[in-house]
Amino acid sequence: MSGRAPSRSYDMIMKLLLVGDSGVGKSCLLLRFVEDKFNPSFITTIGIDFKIRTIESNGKKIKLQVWDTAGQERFRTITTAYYRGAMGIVLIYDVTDSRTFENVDNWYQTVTQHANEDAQIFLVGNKCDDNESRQVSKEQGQDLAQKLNIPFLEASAKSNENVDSIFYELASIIQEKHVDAGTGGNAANSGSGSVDVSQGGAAGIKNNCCS
Amino acid sequence: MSYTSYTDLKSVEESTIVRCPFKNCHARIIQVGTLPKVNVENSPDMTKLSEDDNMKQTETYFYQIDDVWEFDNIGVSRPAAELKEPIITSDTNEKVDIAVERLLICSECDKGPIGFAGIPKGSENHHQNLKYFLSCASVLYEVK
Repeated sequence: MSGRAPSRSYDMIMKLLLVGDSGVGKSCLLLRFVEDKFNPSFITTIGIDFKIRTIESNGKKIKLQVWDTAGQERFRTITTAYYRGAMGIVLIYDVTDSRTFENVDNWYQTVTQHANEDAQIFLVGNKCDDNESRQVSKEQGQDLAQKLNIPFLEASAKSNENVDSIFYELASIIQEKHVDAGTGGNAANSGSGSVDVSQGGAAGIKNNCCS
Repeated sequence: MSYTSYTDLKSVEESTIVRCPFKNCHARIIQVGTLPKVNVENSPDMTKLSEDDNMKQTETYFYQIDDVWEFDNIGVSRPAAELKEPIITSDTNEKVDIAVERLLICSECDKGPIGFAGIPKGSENHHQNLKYFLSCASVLYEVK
C-alpha cells in the first residue's frame, strides 16, 4: 500500500522554550560544552537550535522539542511567533547574577503576554554548582516561584544536576493538564503551528556557551 | 547489547533501530522503518566510525527524514553559512537541490556530526521546510 503514514511512535508531542536574560546558560541546558575530538568546536560555536528528545512519563511516550532563543533575547526581539504553540516555557536566571533574577518578573510578563494561556511556565535558577559566586539564594527562588505560582528547580548545566529533571517535571505537569482537559495532547497535528525562531536566527550569531 | 556498523550490516529491517555511535551513549535516534536512502556527494564532513571509511568517501548514503518528529532523539544546530553544498540523488535518480545549513548531533552526548539538514531550493527558508539527512556510515544499528 502506498502513501500510508507510518504508525505513530509517540503518545504526545510538546514544544518547550528556554527563555531568560542572555548569559544565564540557556544554551548550556541544550548543548553541554564537551571537549572531545568528535565534537568539533564549530558545533559548539554554531550552537543548537533545538533538540528532539523522547521520554517516558506515566507510561506514555512523549516527544519533546526544546528550543533555544538563538540569542534574540539580547536584542529584545523575541517575537510572538517564537511562543506560538509552546506548551511549556522554562524561565531561567543565573543564581550568580542577581540582575538576571530581578529580570524574572519582566520575563514572566512577556511570556504571559505572548504565550498560549495554558502554557506551563517553569522557573529555573541555573549555575547552582557555583556556591562561591552565588548572589541569589535557593529560598529567594522558591519564594518568587510561589508568588508567581509556578514550579521551581535549581540546576547546573555544568555538573548536569537537575537538567533532566527540569524536562521530566515540566513534561509531567503538562501531561497531567492535558489528561485533566481530556485532550490527550496535540500529537495529531504535528508540524502545524510549530514554533518559529527562524527569524533573527541567521548564520553568524555566535553562541558563547558557558562563558 | 551489541550494535552493528553500517559496513557489517547484512540487512536492514523496518524494525532496525539507529543508535548513536559514541561509547557510553548509544542513544536511540530513529527507527529505520521505511526511510528512503539517498546518495549524497560532496556532503559536509561526517563522523567516521573507522579509518577505512576514508577510502570510500566519493559516494555516501544517507537516510532522508522529511518530518523531524520521526526522530526519537536528535540535536539540530543553528544555521551555519560555511557548509559544503551536497549533491543528493534519490533511488529514482531524481536530483534534489538542498541548501545545507545545519548539522545533526546526538541529543544525549552532543557529539557528531552524524547528519545534516537543509532547505530544498525554491522552498521558503523556514525550519518547517527542513529536510534531514542521517549519515548511514556514522551511526550504529540495533537489529531486532
